[in-house]
Order: sequence, then C-alpha cells, then structure tokens
Amino acid sequence: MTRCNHIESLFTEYVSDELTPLERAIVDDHLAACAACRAELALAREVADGLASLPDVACPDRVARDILAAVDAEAAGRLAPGRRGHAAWWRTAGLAGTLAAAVLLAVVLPRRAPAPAPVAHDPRPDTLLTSPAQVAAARQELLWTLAYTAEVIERSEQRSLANMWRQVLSRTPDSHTATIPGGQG
Amino acid sequence: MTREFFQDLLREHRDRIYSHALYSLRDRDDAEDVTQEAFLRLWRTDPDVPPERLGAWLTRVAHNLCIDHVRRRKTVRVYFGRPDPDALDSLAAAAAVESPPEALGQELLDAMESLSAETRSVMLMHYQQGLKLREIADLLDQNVNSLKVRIHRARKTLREVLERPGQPPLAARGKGH
Repeated sequence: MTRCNHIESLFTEYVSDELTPLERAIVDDHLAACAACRAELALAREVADGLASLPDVACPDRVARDILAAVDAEAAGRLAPGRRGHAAWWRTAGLAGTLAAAVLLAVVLPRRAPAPAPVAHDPRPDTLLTSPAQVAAARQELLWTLAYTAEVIERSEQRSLANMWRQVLSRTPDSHTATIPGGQG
Repeated sequence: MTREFFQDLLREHRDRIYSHALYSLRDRDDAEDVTQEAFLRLWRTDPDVPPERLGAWLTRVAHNLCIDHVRRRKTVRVYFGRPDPDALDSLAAAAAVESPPEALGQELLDAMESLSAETRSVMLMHYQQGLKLREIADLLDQNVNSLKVRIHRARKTLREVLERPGQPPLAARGKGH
C-alpha cells in the first residue's frame, strides 16, 4: 500500500473524529504536503456532510398504530385487523391458487393429452391440446404458475411487492399466455 | 417485554428505523413494511439483550430486512423474465417522488443506487445515523477494518458516479440549492 493509499484509508475515521491523536497528527502532516489527498479528503467530507444532512423522516402514525394493533392481537391470541388480516387473505388466496394449479397439473392435463392408442376422431373444435408439445407447454405454464404463486405466498405480507406484482403483470403484453389453452372447455 | 415498554421503544426508535429503511430502499411502502416487520420481530423475539442495546438490535434487524427486500426485488425480475420497461420506469418514477428534497443528500442517494444494498445500509448507519465504525462492526458482527475498506471503496464509486463528464464538481454542489 502506498503512503497516499494508507492515508486515504484513514479518512473515514478522520472525518468522524475516530482516530487516535497520533494517527490524526500523521494524517495532518501528510495532508500539508499532498494536494491529491486533500482533494480526496474533501470528497470524504462532502459525502459525510451530504448524508448527515438527511433528516430523520417521521414514521407515519398509521404504521405505529398497525404495529400496536398487531401486538395487541397477538397478545390476545387472535389475528389483528388491517394489514395482517390482509396478509392472511393473501396467504389463503395463494394457497388456494397453488392447490388449484396442482390439481390441474396432476389430474386435468394428463386427461387432456392425446391418447396413445388409436381413438375415434374427436369432432369438438375447442379441444386445443392436440399435441404432446402443447401439453408440455401447458405444463410449463403451470409449473411457472406454481413457482410464482409460492413466491406470492412467501411475500404475502409485503404489500408493496404485491402491488409491484400486479402492476408488472398488468403491463406484461403476453401475460394472457399464462392461461391454459382450451381450459374453459 | 411488557406492552408499555414495547410502546416506549416504538416511540423512541420508529423514526430512526423508518428513515433508515426509507433512505436505503427509497420506497415508502417498503420502508413501512420493514419498520413494521422489525418491531414485530422485536415483540415476538423479545431478545435477551440489555435495554440500552435494543436500539442497536432493531437497527441490525432493519439492515437485514432492507437487504432481503432488495434481493426480493431482483427475484421478481427473474420470475418475470421479460419485465415491461414501461412498468419499471413508472416504478422508478414513483421511487423518485418519495425522495427527500435535500440537494446534495439527494444526489448522494441517487449515486448510492450503484452500491450494494449492504454497503448502502452501512453508509447510512455511519453518516446519516452517526454510528461509529466500532458500533457498526459490533452490530453486524464484522471487522472494523473490513468496514473501513468497504466505505473507502464506496466513496471511490460515488466519486465516479457523481463526477461523470458534464457534471459540476462535487464540491460545488449542495450549495445554493
């Protein structure tokens, strides 16, 4: 490590006044003779001053009320209203979605796959899963749905992430491909 | 832990924890989630630490929750594979609206987006909250020297971001805004 690098490594503590008197004197001696390190120290001060200028932001009273409501509800052995109730709804909805997708994956799709043995021609035009490739694609969609729904459950208490999910999904051009072809029949 | 004691802790630390999360994540909803989760963990865990150390305990929990939040944001992108650029732009715009007005601090927060979530959180603990390096090291169970190196490197990254061609010198900012 060069002399300048060593001195620069002390600037964080120099600015926050955490150096010993001896270390501080060594830095001061070096600064008196080194313009590059003086510039580096100026940057360290700017970063420190800039971030220190950021005030504490008041936590909304609503958040504190929600926290105390959750604490009171847990103490009373029941689920709190509001956000935790909302989270529970998401958990339930997510679980229901996962189970529905699992049933489709395990039961419905295999029955929709083309039979291996010769069969009579099926005249119904709405049977869209007519090839193994289509079944495989539909399975892939369902696996994606399962994985994603599991993630939604995990994040069910993260309101903002749920919002992000809804926003991105609503703007994803081909989000409709997540539906099962012929699934309405 | 009694409810009264918990309420005192909530009153004493909620602004600090919320601010740390807000400046770290730059999203009001996420900051509220982190604050709520940190305090609920305090209530549920009732950690076996001296009362004067509970503030530090909360800071560590908030620090870890912020890092988790950033990781999950990345996971969302992986799940969708092809995120809609318009949707991401609108999310970024919403995050910008949440930002505080302080000029140089604002620019630094923007530049700190280029740092890792952990480094960002350490910088905020040290500079915005005024924690000493030794305190942060104890809090995160890390070595002081590695923290010094982390901050030193972060400062160099910030210089590169803030002093790109066309930008005024850093020393000229934060004055007259």
